[in-house]
Amino acid sequence: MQREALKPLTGRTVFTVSSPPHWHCGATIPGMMLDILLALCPAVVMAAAVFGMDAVRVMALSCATAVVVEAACCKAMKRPVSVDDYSALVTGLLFAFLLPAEAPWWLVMAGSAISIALGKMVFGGLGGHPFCPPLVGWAVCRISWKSSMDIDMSLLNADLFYPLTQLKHLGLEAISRFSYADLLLGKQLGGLGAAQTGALLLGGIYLLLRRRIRPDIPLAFLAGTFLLSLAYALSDPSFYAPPLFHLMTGSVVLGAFFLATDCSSSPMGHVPMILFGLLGGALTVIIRVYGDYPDGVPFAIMLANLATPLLDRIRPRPFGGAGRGGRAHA
Amino acid sequence: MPKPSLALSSVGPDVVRETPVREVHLPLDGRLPQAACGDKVLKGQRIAESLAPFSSGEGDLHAPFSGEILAVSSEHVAILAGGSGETVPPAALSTSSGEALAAALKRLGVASAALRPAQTLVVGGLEPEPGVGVAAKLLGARRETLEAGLELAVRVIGPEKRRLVLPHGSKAGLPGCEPVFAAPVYPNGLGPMAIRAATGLENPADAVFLAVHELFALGRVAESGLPLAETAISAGEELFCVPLGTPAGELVKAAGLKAADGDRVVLGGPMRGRALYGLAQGVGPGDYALTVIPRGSFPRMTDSPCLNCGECVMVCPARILPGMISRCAEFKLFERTVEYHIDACMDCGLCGFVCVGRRPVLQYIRLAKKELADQRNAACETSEEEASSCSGKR
Amino acid sequence: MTEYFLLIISAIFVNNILLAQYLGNCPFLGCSRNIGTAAGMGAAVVFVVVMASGFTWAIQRYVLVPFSLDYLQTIVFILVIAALVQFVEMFLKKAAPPLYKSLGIFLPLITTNCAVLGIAIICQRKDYGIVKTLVFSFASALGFMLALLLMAAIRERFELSRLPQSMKGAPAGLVMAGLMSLAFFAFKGMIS
Repeated sequence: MQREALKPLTGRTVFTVSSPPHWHCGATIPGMMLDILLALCPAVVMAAAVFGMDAVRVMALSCATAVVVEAACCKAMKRPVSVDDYSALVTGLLFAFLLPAEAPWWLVMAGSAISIALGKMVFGGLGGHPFCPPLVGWAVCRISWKSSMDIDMSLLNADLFYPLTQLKHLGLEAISRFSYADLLLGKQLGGLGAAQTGALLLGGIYLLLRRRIRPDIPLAFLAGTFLLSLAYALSDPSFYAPPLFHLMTGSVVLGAFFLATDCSSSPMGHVPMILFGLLGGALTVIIRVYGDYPDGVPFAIMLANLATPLLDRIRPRPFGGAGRGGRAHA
Repeated sequence: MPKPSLALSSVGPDVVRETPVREVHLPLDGRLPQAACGDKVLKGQRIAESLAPFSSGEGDLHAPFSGEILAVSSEHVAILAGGSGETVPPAALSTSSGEALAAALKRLGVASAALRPAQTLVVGGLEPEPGVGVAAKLLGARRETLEAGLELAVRVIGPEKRRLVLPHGSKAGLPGCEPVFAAPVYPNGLGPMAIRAATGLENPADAVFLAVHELFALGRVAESGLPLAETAISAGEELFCVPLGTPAGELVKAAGLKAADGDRVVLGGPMRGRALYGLAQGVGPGDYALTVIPRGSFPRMTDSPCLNCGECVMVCPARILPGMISRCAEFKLFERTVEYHIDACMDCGLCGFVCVGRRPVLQYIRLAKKELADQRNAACETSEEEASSCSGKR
Repeated sequence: MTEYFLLIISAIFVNNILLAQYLGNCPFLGCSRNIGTAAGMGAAVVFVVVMASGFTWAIQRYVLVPFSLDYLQTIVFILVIAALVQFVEMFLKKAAPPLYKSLGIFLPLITTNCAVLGIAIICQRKDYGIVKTLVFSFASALGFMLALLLMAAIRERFELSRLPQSMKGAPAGLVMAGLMSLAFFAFKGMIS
């Protein structure tokens, strides 16, 4: 430890002097990021099991690129290299989860680098970014290299299907081949990690139990998706897919538990968090029903991210009421 | 490392121990020293004058025993015991009341914002901070002193209602005080929270709060008629009644604690206390605890940016955004902290306790409060100057 | 009814004047430093755009077309808008001096704001009637205001973030503007 160097030669005891509070709950940024990585592990295993070495290749490449780019950015900004907090690893892994397993190497590297450089480091690193970083990389790639990002590209060499494009282009009958059990076990195409609905749900519950994330955003997000898709399904059950189908396909679970809960780009109070989740969930369904993109989740979360600073202005009355200066007596 | 408990509980028997000391180091905290090196002083003689609100120390300082001034620095006045044990003549407190009594108490070294006329007096019987055992032990072992202090406080404040906030299940009581029970969890022992528990209102103008250890200080003055000379301070599992200026090292020794390299020796509780740089530093009036925190117990404070995770928002009893305030203070945008209702902050330190980035959130908030107060004082001074120049013209 | 609803949604979100058509970026960056200024600027734009579209529609319909002066459209529209902005400025100076002060240079700049002229011309291109013109211009200006408010709230937070030295101020704003319009790609294909 650096403190050792401060010990004077006189042999007097040297105490640590710092500002209160002197106690701490023990939660640290690396600890939090490691927990998130741990929560993502089941999905990593499932992705490797379903998509094979292709998926492992994409995840490894994305994580490595993210870490290297973050270190390079720190160097360029003349700041201490911050990759030891594992946040770049989380960003890289989450970005890989959104990609098809057959994504070419250059796409993985470009997207991962964009996520870190443009999504995070440009805004000063952890805590400053207005969007969840992996989504920035995803959006740039999705718009720039549409065909390479197309989930259905891998339709030729797999006997799995992407439920959302099936729904979009072939209608409601086409999705009858998917049973909910299959969807839960990841027997569907999609982003290589995003498709592992059951494994992600497990990880999300782990994070909730460990209190690394609060239930407000995930539950509100799922509720927003469920309620709006339910409304559509009730209005015309022969045309719109049932709500559970929406919840279990695409990256809804990944989004609800891992992307929307990104600290810096999500709001802080209970009411803002719930509104944020509902907004993201509802936009997901709207984009799926009307938009060009089969899976609306990444864009929906980006749009909700935009509203975060405005939502954060919704605050309860402070202690003792606003305006009147409350003086601490003790 | 386990998460420390925020429960407010006193361990050990209700006993108050005295520790004799021969040399005291009275902390000045910005007070103006009134004695020179080598002076002989009597017990109760004024040593330093408070310049509040311009000094952080409120109330004048007095010699806790008769002796000789060993040293005077900008930080402290050291006194070595000796001489005949003579005291200054005791003040007559039994006849006066109201503001005259408050002024007399201030001269005797007992200054508190709570000593003003008010409708409700709330006595805080909860421990002020976790890991501190002062209130329950004083209520159990020093009831007569507390009653004397209460009688004095009532004469200053003239309250219609008296409330005593106690942890659930406590059987303690004070005369004329209606007991109110609250959950013994930090920050319920702090003034604003205790007042809310007792009156149901947040920061009502006509309620004042006195913690039990403040009442004890008042009681000692009432009993002796002499200026404040000692403080009740908890260290380890025991409660001590020590002369003001008792070096922290003496307390550490008496309580059987160990303070090694890299440890933190904190005057005050673990949430709000201030860390000492040496064991020679003495306790001042109002200090109610001495806490030793071994090195490596908790993650180190860092210069991490705010993650915006909202942990501090969830835990803040004042329902404000401590993280945002700390970010404003970090970038020296102090005026902006007012928009985030920094005035509602009750200085509990829970924001720093839960901060994932281990940022010095409370310190940033205190910095912003100080900067704002400086700005307001400067504004006051200029307007006063203008007013005086105007009256001069007339 | 549905037609108007779709028109409004389209103007606010799908074809947002700032984030999908990239018009009016000058006030978008210049007036988005704090929410108060942004709200004032947004309100001024809403007012000016609706008035300008109405006026220009009438002028196009009753002056330019009957006298075959269509080729003067750009110049005439700019003149009308400039006159209107002067009027708004005088009104604000009298009625709301603090707002007038905080808008500063940007109120006169609305004169040459391409968003105002752009909306007026889009209405003509699409052959909207007077009601549709007013609804469309109002919704477009609301879309402008929405984007401006979102941007202002985000940029207020940038002041509290450790941006790299070279990114402070306008650079971060420009990057953010790009990423915002990336996010607005979400609405692509919803309504033509």
